[in-house]
Amino acid sequence: MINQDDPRLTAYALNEIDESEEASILVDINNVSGYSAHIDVIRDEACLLSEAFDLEPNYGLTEEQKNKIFKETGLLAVTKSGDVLPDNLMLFDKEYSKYKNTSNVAEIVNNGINKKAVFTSLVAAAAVIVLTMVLLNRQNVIQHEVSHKLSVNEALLSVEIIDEKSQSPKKKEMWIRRQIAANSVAADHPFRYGKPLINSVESDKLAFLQRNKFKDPSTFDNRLSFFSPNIGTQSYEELRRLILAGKMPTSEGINVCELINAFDYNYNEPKTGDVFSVSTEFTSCPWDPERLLLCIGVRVLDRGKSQSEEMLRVSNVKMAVEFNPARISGYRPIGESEASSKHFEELDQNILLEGQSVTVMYEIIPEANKELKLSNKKSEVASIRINYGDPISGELRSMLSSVSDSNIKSFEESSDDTRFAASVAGYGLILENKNHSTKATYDLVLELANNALGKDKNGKRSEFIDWVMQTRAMNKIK
Amino acid sequence: MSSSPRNIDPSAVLLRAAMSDFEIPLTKYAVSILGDLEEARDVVQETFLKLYKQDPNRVGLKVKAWLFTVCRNRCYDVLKKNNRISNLEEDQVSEIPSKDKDPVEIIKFFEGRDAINKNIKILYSLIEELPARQKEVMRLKFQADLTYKEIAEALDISISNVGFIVHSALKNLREAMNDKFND
Repeated sequence: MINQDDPRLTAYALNEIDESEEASILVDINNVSGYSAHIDVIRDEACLLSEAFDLEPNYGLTEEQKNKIFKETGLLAVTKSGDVLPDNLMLFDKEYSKYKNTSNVAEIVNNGINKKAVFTSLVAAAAVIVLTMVLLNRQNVIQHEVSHKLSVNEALLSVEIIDEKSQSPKKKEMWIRRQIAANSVAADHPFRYGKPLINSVESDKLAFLQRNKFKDPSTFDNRLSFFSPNIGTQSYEELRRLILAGKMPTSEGINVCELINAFDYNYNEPKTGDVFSVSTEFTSCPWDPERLLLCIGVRVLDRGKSQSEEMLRVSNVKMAVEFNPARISGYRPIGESEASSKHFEELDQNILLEGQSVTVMYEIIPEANKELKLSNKKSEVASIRINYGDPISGELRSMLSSVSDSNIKSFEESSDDTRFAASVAGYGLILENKNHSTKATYDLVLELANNALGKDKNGKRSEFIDWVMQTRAMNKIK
Repeated sequence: MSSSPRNIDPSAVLLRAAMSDFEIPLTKYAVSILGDLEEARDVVQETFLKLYKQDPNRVGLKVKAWLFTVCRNRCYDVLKKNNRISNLEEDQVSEIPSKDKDPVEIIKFFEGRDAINKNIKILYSLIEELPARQKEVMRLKFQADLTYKEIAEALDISISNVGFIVHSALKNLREAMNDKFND
């Protein structure tokens, strides 16, 4: 029997327990009340400690020093497409240190998915490892735009090869760790809310989240939620087609995310000098008092160009929301579906044109009763990071906006836009409501939409209300 | 795809990956020992160059522990050479107060960052007050993200000793934080 002051309990909380001891400690943890709470405390503290060290500037080598290393080791003559990689690629994880690829030939792919992908870019001049964000879709790692285009010829180096088919979860994790720099070192993107845990902590809470398809932001895989900058609107046309044909829409055919994005919203213009504006509204959830809704609207600047001018293109756009596990116990993107992943392949994901905007919504379960010992007044609940190539200079830039809990509004106080988007989201949730995981109803959706028409210049919002009524009618017959 | 593939040097791959993953944590660690950024950078540069000369098959599996061990030893060489310490046992070495930048100064650097929680800043200052060995282990664990095993290798102590130090340091910090807030 261990007591609360046993270093092994600390080791367990930090995933450092020896396998031989794990079983016996688990018995104690499950039998003694208070131990699992204590473990949570230690894990929170671990996050806070990482954050504390993150206060320090990211000291590193000077450019001159790095160049000297490159020169002395011949590292400037590094890999390019087609190079034969060494048999044992060196990874920093003992179990995968000898990951072998079938061909061991570096292959720079341009067509996205299901291929071996070589990553990591080295800008010799700037000598920065560029952050390559990945789109995570369920279990699959989808990587677009494998290597960042460099101004320095062939300054690319393959460090690791990923073959999606043979990827174990652990392997995937290692890869993502590198990509998004979990060590907070490879790129200038430390996690804002402490280092995530590698694995979920098995608990009632987790079981609840999983049952409801919510994600737990305390873990590595779920800390960041990536969303596509370029969401199509095909589902809107599809919905119109189905309704006109008198067919009941299904969640397979309709992607809620696309539906939400088919409507116009009046997001603020970006501030002078900014490429994007990010509007967020954080409100109570009309169909579930225990949840919140986070509505994020991103708008690209609009120059009000004349006909002859070329459209401004913002390239390499990667967007991600980081959720603060100290404040949020679970989140669920509304409209993430298999359908959307298919479109991912077809669309040019990373480009946004001027005047375009993107809307994403999340259902959120707040962390209600967690008492943080070291920090009990943290106000930030999430932050949105947009990485992009500057439309003029092409330079990679990053922009961050944060959402704090002081922004939470009652649903009634929120804007017409958010309330309308919520009604569309509610409609989508009803369509995909196989396990009765939402309490949204058609009546509620209609009420929300009717109260959120706004100016409705193009009549789309009113049209949507008609469709909801028809869907409700079809549903009754069924 | 190129028609004539070249073989690339495994040592280069190892070094490249090590630099991308550990440049910053190593430099921060060296700064914490030396208290001087320029010296720390030199040590880290030497460490990487030394890595390139190692047999990648031998080092590859435990490159992280290797880097921190070599970096740490180099730091103490520098301290000794500069007569900042002389003929001391290593454990005593750790007790020499480093000329670490004043934590308050570092925090000021970030004053503009809106979301930095006040408590995190306090926590940072409390880490600075820990005994030297605890401070070092906490940094390796929570800043450089080393495992207990890697820390044990880097500091040449046992894994259970690492576990004990982490545990004690956490307890100290918890108590110190409670004291701060119950005043």
